[in-house]
Amino acid sequence: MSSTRGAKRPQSSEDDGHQKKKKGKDVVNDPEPGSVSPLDLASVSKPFKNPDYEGPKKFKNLKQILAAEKLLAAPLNAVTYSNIQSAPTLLPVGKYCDITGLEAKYTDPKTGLRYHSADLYMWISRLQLYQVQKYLSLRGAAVRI
Amino acid sequence: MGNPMELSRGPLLVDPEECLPYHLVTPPAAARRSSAEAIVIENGSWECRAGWSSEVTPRLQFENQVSKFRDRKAGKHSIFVGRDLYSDKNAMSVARSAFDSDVVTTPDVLEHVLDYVFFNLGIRGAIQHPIVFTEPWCNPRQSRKLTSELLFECYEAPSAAYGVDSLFSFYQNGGSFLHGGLVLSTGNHSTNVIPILAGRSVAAQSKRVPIGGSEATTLLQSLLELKYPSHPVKFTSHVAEHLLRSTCTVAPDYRAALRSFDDSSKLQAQDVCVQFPYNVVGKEELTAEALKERENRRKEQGKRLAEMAAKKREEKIQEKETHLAYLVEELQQHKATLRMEETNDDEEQQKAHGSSQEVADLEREIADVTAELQRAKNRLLGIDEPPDIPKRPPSDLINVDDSTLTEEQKREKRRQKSMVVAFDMRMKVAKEKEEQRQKMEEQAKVEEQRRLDDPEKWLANVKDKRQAVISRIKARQKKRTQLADRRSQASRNRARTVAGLARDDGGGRRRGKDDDTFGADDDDWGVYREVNRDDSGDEDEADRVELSKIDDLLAAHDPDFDANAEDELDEEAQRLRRSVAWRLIHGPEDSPPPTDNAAVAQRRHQVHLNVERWRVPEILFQPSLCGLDSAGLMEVVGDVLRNFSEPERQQMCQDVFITGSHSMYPGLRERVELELRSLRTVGSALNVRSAADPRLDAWRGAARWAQSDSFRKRLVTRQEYMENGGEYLKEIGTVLP
Repeated sequence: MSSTRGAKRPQSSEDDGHQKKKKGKDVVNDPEPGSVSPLDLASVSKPFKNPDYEGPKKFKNLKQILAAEKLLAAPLNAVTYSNIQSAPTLLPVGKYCDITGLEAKYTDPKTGLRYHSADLYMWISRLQLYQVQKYLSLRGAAVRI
Repeated sequence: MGNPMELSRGPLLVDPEECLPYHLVTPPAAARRSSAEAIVIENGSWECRAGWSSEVTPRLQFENQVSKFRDRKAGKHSIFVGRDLYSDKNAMSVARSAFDSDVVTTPDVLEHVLDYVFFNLGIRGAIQHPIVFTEPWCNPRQSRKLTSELLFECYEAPSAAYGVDSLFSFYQNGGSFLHGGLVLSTGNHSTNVIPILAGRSVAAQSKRVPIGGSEATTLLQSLLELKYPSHPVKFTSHVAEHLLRSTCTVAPDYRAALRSFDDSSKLQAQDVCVQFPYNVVGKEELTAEALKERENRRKEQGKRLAEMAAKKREEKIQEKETHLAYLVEELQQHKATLRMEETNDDEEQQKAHGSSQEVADLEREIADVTAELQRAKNRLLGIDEPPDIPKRPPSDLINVDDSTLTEEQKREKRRQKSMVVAFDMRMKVAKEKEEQRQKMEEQAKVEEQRRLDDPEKWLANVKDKRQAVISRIKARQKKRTQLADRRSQASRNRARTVAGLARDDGGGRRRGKDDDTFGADDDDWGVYREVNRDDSGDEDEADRVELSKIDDLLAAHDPDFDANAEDELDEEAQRLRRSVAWRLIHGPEDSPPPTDNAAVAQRRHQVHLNVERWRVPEILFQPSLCGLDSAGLMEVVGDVLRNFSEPERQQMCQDVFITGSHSMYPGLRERVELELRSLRTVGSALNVRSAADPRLDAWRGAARWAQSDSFRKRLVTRQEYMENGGEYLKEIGTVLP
């Protein structure tokens, strides 16, 4: 996976026929040929960009985007990002030990943790409350305090 | 990426520093490219790959992360993309992604990524190439609009086309849209099931499971943090990702795989020991010479100290001698004045009396100091002095009647009385102590006799006693832990007792109005012990002293006794050591804890992966394992297939295709095939295959498509974008040749 780590930076420009300089302020020299130091994008010229373009200032997160999509006057059977989401499972949910991940035969009524064997009950009884909550939160069963 | 099966032997060496995400930047070639050649950008939320359509591999492959920050010292803005952002601490902490889940939501971040792409592709002028851009399955329109705006307005691209990565991968791997198929694509945040029939994908019947590589990485990371809470190596998401990719596998039957962990020999085979780098901070080996020198130095130091102490003692003697001389002189002066004053009149009597008192005091002090001096001198000379035999204070006046005494004598009588009483008391205490000592000695003798008479019985007796002490200590420990929990029975009992003590109305158990007999029984006071949370300290201390005495006895007389085993004291810890959880955490080998520094450090920097290797990939099939109520991959596949007619189902099952960079688990294809077979009718044809290269095939497919005619037909030009807006697409990019 790491065979090409530290690959060299681009050395020469290909389309250097038309060097169109952008607003002078952030234009510095292009990186030295053969340099392997990290490339700081703020310090290179970007002639391929429209200097007058200004992007939107406000962004919506995915939830807002999906909410907006629902409001569109689209046909009911239109396929959208939100309606291809899989439904909740109808199969019985497996019970696994919260500590080891093995099959859980028992549930501790006090903490709600599931556990595999009697030895693990001892383990559970030594856990602090915050640890119990962490274990529970792995499977989304933690109580928000 | 090695084969996980090979890793079960010997520890897997992992250096967290080396676990950075994959990064490849190929320097641009010098050749001038024709404007027909397309720039292919596979914009994944995990990794971005970009390159030219005429080439086989993308020139750029980097983690899709950007960090933009202002260095206050240097006073300049910096923007780093991909691996570069790990070169700077500031950059690492403000890394951002353009994605929310797998959808592009922040175009300003994407803008930096595209800057990086075009710059590293060697473009130094206006872009004159068409662009192929990938997007997630059923990308929301708003997101596509943002991307189009960026491509056409910011970069002024002449034309662009969108496509879905998983379908590109299907296309690259020889999938035929006409013959149909079922694409299972598992990516960074989602896993899609896309049926393909009669030349096009059936979007209406497709499904998305919100599980992907990032969910798996997060789960593995938190599992490691919980399993090794005080591990010296920080489990970063990159370390977790590395471990996920190098050790995790999909079990054909998850429950059977879990059951195999009860068998310790199988556990041995499935356990992967991960060794993180460590440094040994060891004691240097000392040579004999160095040891000798150290010994000499110690001796010399001891001598010097002894000399200093002797000098100090001599100085003290000197001091005392001068003090004595001064006292003697003072005494003589007093005596002289006393003699002179004896002739004076009565008025001065009082003063003279004071003087005579002072003389007596001085004489006493002189005697004391002389004795002290003698003792000190003896000590200096090493003479053992005879033990002090306390003298009974004079008691001549005590039995004389008051009427016959003067004022002064009366005072003296009182003094003598108190002295005598104190003396008698001291003697009594000393005698009692002596008696007790004798009694103890006698007891020890009796005990010794008993031991000699019947050693076995005696030993059993002592061991019983030891057990009793240990159980007392343990009971107190238990009570303490119970009291720490507010809801335990012990805490409730205590609260009840406190309430009862505080009640004034006679309802209390102890404080009846009429029959307040509290204290009549000595045990009544025990209630305060019950109320006090931590008074068991002294009792504990006493018990521990007794325990150590018994341990000494046993150590002297029982060859089998081992006080260090501590098994009785912490029987629970012993049981924990034998439990499954212990074996899973510390490895299946039952070796004793290492003693030398290097081995200790090595152990401390190890992590054992066993159940996790199956548990983490299993979230794809059982999302409930990471707290999601969504249906798992195969349940969704079953649902999707159910919506088609049998001939259509058959057509799709002819080519079930697994792709996506999260599909790297060994055993995934087999598992899918196994479960799919159980969904299908007996004997029906089923062919499940994986992408040849799940990571890069999507990009390759896109590059190949960019050279076809259908690509040209589906390109949206800048002109068309200006007219129709950012959501405009031709045939929604899913129909491939």
